[in-house]
Amino acid sequence: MSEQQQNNTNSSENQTHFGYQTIDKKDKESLVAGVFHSVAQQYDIMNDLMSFGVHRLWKRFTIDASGVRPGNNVLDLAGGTGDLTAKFSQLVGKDGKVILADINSSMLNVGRDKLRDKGLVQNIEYVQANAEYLPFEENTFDIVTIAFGLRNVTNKDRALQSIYRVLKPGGRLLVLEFSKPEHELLNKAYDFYSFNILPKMGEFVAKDGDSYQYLAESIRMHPDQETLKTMMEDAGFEQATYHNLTGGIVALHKGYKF
Amino acid sequence: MHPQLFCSVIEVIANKAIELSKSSANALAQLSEKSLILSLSELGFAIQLQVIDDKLLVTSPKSDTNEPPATADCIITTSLSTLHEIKSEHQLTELIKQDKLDIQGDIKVAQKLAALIENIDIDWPAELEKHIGDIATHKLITLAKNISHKAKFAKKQITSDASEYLVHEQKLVVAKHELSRLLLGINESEQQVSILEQRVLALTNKLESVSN
Repeated sequence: MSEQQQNNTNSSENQTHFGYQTIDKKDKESLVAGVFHSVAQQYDIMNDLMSFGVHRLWKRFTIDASGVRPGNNVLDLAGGTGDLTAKFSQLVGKDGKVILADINSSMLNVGRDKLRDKGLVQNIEYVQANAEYLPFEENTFDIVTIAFGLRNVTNKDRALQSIYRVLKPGGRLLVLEFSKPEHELLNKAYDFYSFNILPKMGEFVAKDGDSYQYLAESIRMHPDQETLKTMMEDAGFEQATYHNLTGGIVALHKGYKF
Repeated sequence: MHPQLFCSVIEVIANKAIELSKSSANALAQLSEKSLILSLSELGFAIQLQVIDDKLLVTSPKSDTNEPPATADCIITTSLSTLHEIKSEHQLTELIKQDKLDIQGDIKVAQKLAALIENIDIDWPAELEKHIGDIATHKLITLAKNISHKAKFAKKQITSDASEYLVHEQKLVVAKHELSRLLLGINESEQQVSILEQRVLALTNKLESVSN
């Protein structure tokens, strides 16, 4: 291999996407952090506005599909403002535990304040953690969820392996993430909405159109349903399946560790 | 996502109603940490009701074959039409015999939950006062009472008029046997006219032949 080819290979190995931009892998974490520090305070309002409240149903679907039981240990990864954690906390009861983990301190602070204001304190812990290097022992959790977080992770394969490691045998991972709409017409309407309306909405409400432009771009760069399923299988997950929600705008992937 | 939408709406409405009903607190406390799974044949999915921290949680559990099925203190499989009958304990055996009802676990949980929902009593004027004030509430309640009174009167009037109209109409309406008798008479007349026509024609022909 020539020196130039070697340099090119090294260069592509060290590069990743930040929306439509190609950047060095080492920079993605701080750029994504910048986006979420910026939107953290308006995150819930924007979620309701952008999805017309449907994100609540997507999250409910995830909870219902998780098979959570009293006494379970749950890791809500990239849990942000704690929507899933709030429900899990009630469902696992006093004998269970939920860990709300997020790499971003601003999101974690907003989530912690929100859950404490709701009186949810007894079985929730907060951990600032990178999904690629989870600071937990092997075989710790019955359920790991990552909702609208995986696409922001720099090395998704490494994150999936890390999640696999911390799951107990019989445990399951649920990935709720934007995906590829099933019908072309819906895809076009969704593209128009994402690139023309969403950034303006972000500019108007959160005073940050760029972050919402990144959101739209990062969704398009995220692996589609089948690719993500294969990635989960490659990481060791068994019986990986996915369920399209709202015509494939969002998909819930589920896989087991046996 | 229809089950999630359904559960979400039920959860919000039920918790708001329980919060506003002062008499519900004790009934809810008796159900603390209890859960019920309800499978109604009309819905096509199961609903799990759980009382946790003075809140009613409504979910739609979906178990894969890899996971143990959802558990609860009481699991009821029935139909919407049978649901209201399970309140009276003496009917339970009969419903189970008729395969209209399947119960696993403690039926008292279901009965307590049904009683909680039935006994929700909200003081609407007091709640309204908090939002729009005393005077506006009084006026609104008076207006609502007037409208209700007028609506009741109108309903009574319409019912009475309709009954009277129907009684009169009944007198005028042709009964089936009367109609068939009329049709029979028409047929007989038609036949007689036809016979007369033939006789007139025969007589005319006879007259013509005599004159020739």
